[in-house]
Amino acid sequence: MINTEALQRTYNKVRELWDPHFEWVVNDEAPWTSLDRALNQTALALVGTCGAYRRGIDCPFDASNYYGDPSLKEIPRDTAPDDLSFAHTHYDHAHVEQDPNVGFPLTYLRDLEAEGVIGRFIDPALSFSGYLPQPRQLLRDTAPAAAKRLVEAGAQAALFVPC
Amino acid sequence: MRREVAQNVKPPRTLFVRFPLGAPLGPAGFSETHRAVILEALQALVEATEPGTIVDSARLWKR
Repeated sequence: MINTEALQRTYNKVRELWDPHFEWVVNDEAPWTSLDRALNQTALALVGTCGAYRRGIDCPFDASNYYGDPSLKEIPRDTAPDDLSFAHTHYDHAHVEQDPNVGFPLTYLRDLEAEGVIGRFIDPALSFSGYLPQPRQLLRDTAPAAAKRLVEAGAQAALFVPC
Repeated sequence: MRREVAQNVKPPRTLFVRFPLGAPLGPAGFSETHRAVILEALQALVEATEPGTIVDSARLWKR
């Protein structure tokens, strides 16, 4: 693991304030699939971890849970950015509240599809809340389900936007 | 997001931007920056040839 003072401060803070058993997840290798087509022929999915949900429609993520919320929300790709709210208590919301595309860029991906830069913007987009010191359920259940959902929807690549 | 997080998590391809948590595409209202960051990430999708590639974005935080 590559450790730094900043990572150590975060590690100490999470263990002291929220989860005394917190440990970083470190992966041994990066997965890899080559992109075997041009970008303008590629069906692209959006996955975000800023905690986006549809206000008044979706149940918000349980952002106050010290152990995080490993659930997944499907956000229809044509959702208006102003209909989004963000449930995640571990970053400053000033930018995403003023401009939801900063954290969940539905508008830009629709634009890039319309301009022919990407082949297709997959429906739905997927949303997580990224504070998750206990990731077991995510790794075992939610993330494989998310990948399966996107493949079934036709995704050939995904843009992952972390918070 | 910190660069060392990507080094530990090892996504297939990463575009590293020097922006604070909560603004992964840049400051609110800076649509030209947001779009440029997405295009840089898509360029990495097309051009990267090695698993775990981290590309450092040229974009600066401007408000």
